[in-house]
Amino acid sequence: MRYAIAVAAALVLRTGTLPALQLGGTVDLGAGQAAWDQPGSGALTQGALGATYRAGALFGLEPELLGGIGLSSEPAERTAVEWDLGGRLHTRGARTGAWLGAAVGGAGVGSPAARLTRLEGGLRQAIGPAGLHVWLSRTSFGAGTSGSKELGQGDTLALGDTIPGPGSMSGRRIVEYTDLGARASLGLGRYELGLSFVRRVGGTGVRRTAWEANGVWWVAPSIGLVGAAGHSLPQFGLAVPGARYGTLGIRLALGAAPRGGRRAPREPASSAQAAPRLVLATTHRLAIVGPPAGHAEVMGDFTDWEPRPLEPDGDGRWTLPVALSPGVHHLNVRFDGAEWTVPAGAIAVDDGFGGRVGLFVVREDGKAEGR
Amino acid sequence: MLRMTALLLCLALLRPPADAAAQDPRLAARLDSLTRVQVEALVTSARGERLPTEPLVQKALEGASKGAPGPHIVTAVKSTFADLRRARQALGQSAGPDEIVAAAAALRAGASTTMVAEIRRVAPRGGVAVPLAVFTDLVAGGMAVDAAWRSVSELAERGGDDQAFLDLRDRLRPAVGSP
Repeated sequence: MRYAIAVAAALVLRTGTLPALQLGGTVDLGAGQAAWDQPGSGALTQGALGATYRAGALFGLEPELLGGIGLSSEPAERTAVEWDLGGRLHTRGARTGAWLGAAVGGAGVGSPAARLTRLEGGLRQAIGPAGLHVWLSRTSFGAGTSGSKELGQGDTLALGDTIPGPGSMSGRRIVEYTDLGARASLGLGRYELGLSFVRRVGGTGVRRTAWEANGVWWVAPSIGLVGAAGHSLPQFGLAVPGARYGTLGIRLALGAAPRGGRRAPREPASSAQAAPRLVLATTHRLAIVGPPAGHAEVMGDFTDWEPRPLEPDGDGRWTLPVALSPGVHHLNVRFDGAEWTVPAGAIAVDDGFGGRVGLFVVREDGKAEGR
Repeated sequence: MLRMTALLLCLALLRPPADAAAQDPRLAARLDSLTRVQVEALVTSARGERLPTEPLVQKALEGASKGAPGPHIVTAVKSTFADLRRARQALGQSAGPDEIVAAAAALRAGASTTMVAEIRRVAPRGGVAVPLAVFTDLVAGGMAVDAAWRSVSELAERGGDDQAFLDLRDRLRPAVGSP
């Protein structure tokens, strides 16, 4: 049984229709207790810093740049470093859709001595406050400046202490492995719950399945209590063995859209034909043309953000008799209980909750704005 | 840890109450007490600065409906507060609530504070709510920010009234793709 101290930071930079960058993210400070799969002694300190940058949509896709650096340290033994830099393309928003990504980096003890490459992809689906994320990640370690692929050596990844049993790994090459993971999450106001599983194929080590249950309780603005328990897989790049663990910590939220926090739905990049369209906004009526659906809802500052059903008007047109004051208004719409979206004809801007909200204007004379 | 949480909750509950006018029943119905107290404090501050408060209330309600955690709601309301401040700074102290809200929307649509200040400069007597709303509407219709701004500012410099801006919108909106 060893103790571990962990510090992690995830920063998010965003641009959209806003002229300036927005900074968000989280900083986690925590400590825990771990029973390593490999016998060992002494305390372990781990730290990680990650950042992502998202610009606006590009050809219907949302590009994202990611970078991260992590280190682990055992007193009197070694400090391992791993870094990576990559990108992802999201077909839809943060909570629903598919993504593909790739990253390159380095890992090793003392200084990154082995090259790291990663190909990954995943699917996300949000259903109300719940979310499901399934991903596949292929990580490869190649020869670095030392010219050796012999992992487990001190001049490369120094994985000797990550391997459960000297006979199982010494002298073997850890070239690549594939992780297949799934995570279910649930956001309930100030509480967030998550459960994840990962299955490793290839690589080495006797442990091939990992799981974690975690929760966040936002006790104050920007301050959450984080608890997690599970069994981890070896982190080869950081020379950290797998372990059963339990941790407690504090999460500090920065900006408007912390990583790991519950996100409001994003505007889907559906086809133009299926995309809802705001076609009328007068002082007494709102009309939207949408995809074929059984029912449609709208919410906005004119409903105090309570969902209101739209009435079918034929030919995919939906209307809501509502008193709208002249000026600028905000809205979201959804069809058949799917994600809240921004209809075409409204300006999609960041809603401050990780999603989009639509801006539209109602004229003084109540004249129809669209066709 | 539990004691610290309890202490935080007690501190929040023991804070001096926001003025009665800030205690919006909509907030009480939709937000937890900790979030509500902080949003109400922001509403009170906005009122003290003579900024419109309804956008702040609406942002909080939006967050509640989207299931955002309390801290995110407070952050978003602060951001909206900052937008309104920027809008008022660009327009000047004499700006009315409608003008501030319209300017905040224009800023979110892509206008710069310089653009907003320019509209105020060229239309010192007329209200700028309609020109700014028309700008936002043109951008919503797909027109480029610079092009929309040129059209609106040129009309403002010519002394166009509200009806003239609405007519401008009718002329340009179909050309840029009516919704």
